[in-house]
Parts: sequence; structure tokens; C-alpha cells
Amino acid sequence: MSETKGSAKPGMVIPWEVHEKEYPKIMGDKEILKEEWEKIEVLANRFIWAILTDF
Amino acid sequence: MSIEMEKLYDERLKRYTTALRNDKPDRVPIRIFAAEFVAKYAGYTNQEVTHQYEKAFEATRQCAKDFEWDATVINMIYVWTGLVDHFGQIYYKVPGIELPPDVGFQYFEPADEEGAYMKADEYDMLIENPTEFLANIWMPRISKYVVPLNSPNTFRNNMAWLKGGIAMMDYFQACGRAAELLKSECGTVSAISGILKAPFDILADKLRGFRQLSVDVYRQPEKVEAACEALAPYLFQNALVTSDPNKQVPVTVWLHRGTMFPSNIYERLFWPTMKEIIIELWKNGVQTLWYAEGNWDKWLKYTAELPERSIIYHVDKGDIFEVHKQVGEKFAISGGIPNDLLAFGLPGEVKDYCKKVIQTVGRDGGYILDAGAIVQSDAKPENIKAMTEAALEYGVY
Repeated sequence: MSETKGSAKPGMVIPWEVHEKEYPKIMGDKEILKEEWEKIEVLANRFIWAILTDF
Repeated sequence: MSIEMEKLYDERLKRYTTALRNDKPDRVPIRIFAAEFVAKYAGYTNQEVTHQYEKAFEATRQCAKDFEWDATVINMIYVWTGLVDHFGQIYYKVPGIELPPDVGFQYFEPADEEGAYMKADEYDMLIENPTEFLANIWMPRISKYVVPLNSPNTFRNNMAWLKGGIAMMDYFQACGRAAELLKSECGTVSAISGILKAPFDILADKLRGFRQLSVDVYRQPEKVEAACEALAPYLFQNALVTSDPNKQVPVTVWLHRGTMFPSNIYERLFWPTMKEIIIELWKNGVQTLWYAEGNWDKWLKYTAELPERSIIYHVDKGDIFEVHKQVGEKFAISGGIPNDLLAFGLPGEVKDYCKKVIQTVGRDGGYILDAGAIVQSDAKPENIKAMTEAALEYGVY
């Protein structure tokens, strides 16, 4: 399957790699932040693509 | 759930999944995809079932029980217009609003370049980042509330995004409960899980419109090709995350425009990414229901390239006997009972035709009884009953 361009990533709207740079600093466990970020990103992404495919 | 109902469900699940894998179950499964038919049967208006999803779920369960369906879709009226009312999609005409309450909802694709939701010179933007294109460019065009980027924001824009998301979560959670009730109250299997459209069909149906795409395939085919390739990983991902986690029932690909173009267009622009997505899903253990709307017989040689058992071939207006002859060894087959027979025929005629299909196409298993297209309100209940009778009388192995 073709590669996606730039920061675009199927399944995510704003990939963690982009959002991570928005923190001024991370003093604790980065993985906790990543997990919770991606959990909602999946749902947000699903919303956008569901309007296209389902509704 | 009672022990009897659990036993019934397990029997039906085994029957259905055995046939999906092109094997021979105890009898031909009955798996009907019924939309507005369920409303008429249960005594609801189309407005009621389209706008109030619990009524659609309940009407489907009533049909599943009364007609002894082994499997069905929890709600085949695919648009919940409650969500449409909140998010503001302009491409639907809704029963009870723009349409009389007893007419089915209607989708209106872009009719010309001016009305196209994606313009002819925007392919590169779509290709660069499809998700951002949808959110920033497409959604402001298809929603009466969502405002374009860099425009003054509005309260209704904010509410459309908020309520659209809430509405979708509300509906999908309700779908989960409905699938459980279909199981516990009817012993009927939720027949499919997950959604897929061909990249080419997304361009035709929702972005450019059929007319505009018909021009694009000649004026800028390399852009159409690149757009299909850009969309493919996203549509694959979307199908995968919505697929059955138990990998028992298939994702469905609703096939639209592939039959409307000549072979050079199909071969270059429609087929490659469609094939790639289906193969990738199969590598993940997920079958695809190839729901071939219209007549896809002329493309059988391409469909035959797919891995064995990776699809279930659903026949609408194609020749089910020819499909069986050409690809029946590789793929299970469903459908093929003409909708006009269900609307205008007599029960005896329906039973005879089902018998013919069951005894030919279903001779060695791998056949699932269903109408060619989604059953609408013109189908006679006695003919739907005749389908069940045919399966029970002629479909036992």
C-alpha cells in the first residue's frame, strides 16, 4: 500500500509525533500521555472518516 | 439469554460462518439485508425508522424473529438522520423534512463542477493529507453549519462539531446494544461488521461526483490514480478498526461505480487499490463481503485474482449461475434473488427461484440466501416468508 505523506497517518488526525512537540516539556511518563492522546485520536479520526463512509 | 436461544444462536453462527468460508453447513443460511421493508412490516413510517434508530433496531428484530433469519444487519437504513440534523449534511433529503414521511431517505451527489465537494484542481490537497482535506475543505462544503478555515467562527460551527461527535458515539454505542439484543431476543447473528468503499467510489460518490469524475479520468487520470493510492491506506485502516474483532463476520465493500466505466479505466483506476485493500484485510484475517451492486459479471476475471476465501461474492443483477461457474470454487456466494420478484412475484414463484439457486449455486455449500439488493418497502412479506420456506425445505444438506 502507498506510503502516506508528511505527518499524515491513517487512524490518527493529529499524530502523537506532532502533538509531542507542542508540550513545553514532559516531566513524567511520556507513554501515559501518548496512550491517552491516541485513544481519543482514534475516535476523532473515526468520526471524520465515518461521515465520509457511513453517513 | 435463555439456553434455548443461546443454542439457536450458536447453531446459526456456525451455519453462517461455515458458509462464509465456502464450506458446507447443515443448511443454507438465510441472511437478509432489509432496510425500509422492516419499517413497513413493523408498522412504522420511514421517518420513524430513519430518525429514531431504536425503532429501526426493533423493527429489524421483529423481522428476524418472524422470518427466522439466521443473520441480518441490525439496521440497514444506513443513515441515522438524527446525526444529519445535528451535523448538517446538505446531501440528504430526509423523510419527514424535505420528503413525505413514507418515502425513503435520498442521497444527492454533486451534479456539476460548481456543486462538487472537491474541485478539479484540489487533487494535490487531498493526496497530501486526506484527513485534513476532509476536515478543512470537504466538511465545510457538505455541512450547512461547519465554516471554512480562516473564516469567522460561529456558535453553530462549534455545536455541529460537538454534537456530530456526540451523536456518532451515541449511535455506535446503541448499535452495540442492538447487536446483543438481536442475539439474545432472536438468536440471530449480526451479519457484517465494518465499512469499506473503493477509493474510486469515494471520489465518485462523495467528493467529485460521477459526472466530474467521468471527466477527470480522461483529463487528469494520473491525479485520479494518485488520489486512489492516497486514500487506500486510510480506507483500509477505517475498515480494519471497524471489523469484527473475532474475525467471524466480514467487512462489507459497497461497490458502486466500477461497472460504469470501460475496462481501461477499471483496470488502471478502480481495481488496483480495491484489490490491495482486500488482500491487506485478508492478511489480517478479515473477509470482505463483495457487495456488487448492479451487474459486475464483466469484471469477474479481475475479482477472480483475489485470494481464495478472501471475499464472499454478493450477486445483485449479475448472473448468479455464471458467477458460481467462474468463481464458485474460490469464493462463497450470496444473494441473487431478484428484488423485483420479491416485489411483484407470487410466493410460489419466489420459492421456485430460490430452489433453483439453492440446488445449483448452493449444491456444495458456500451459498447464503439473500435478495440481490437491499430489501425495500415494495417487497411483499409473503415473498420474504417464501424465501425462508425455500431454505428450510430445499436447503438442508
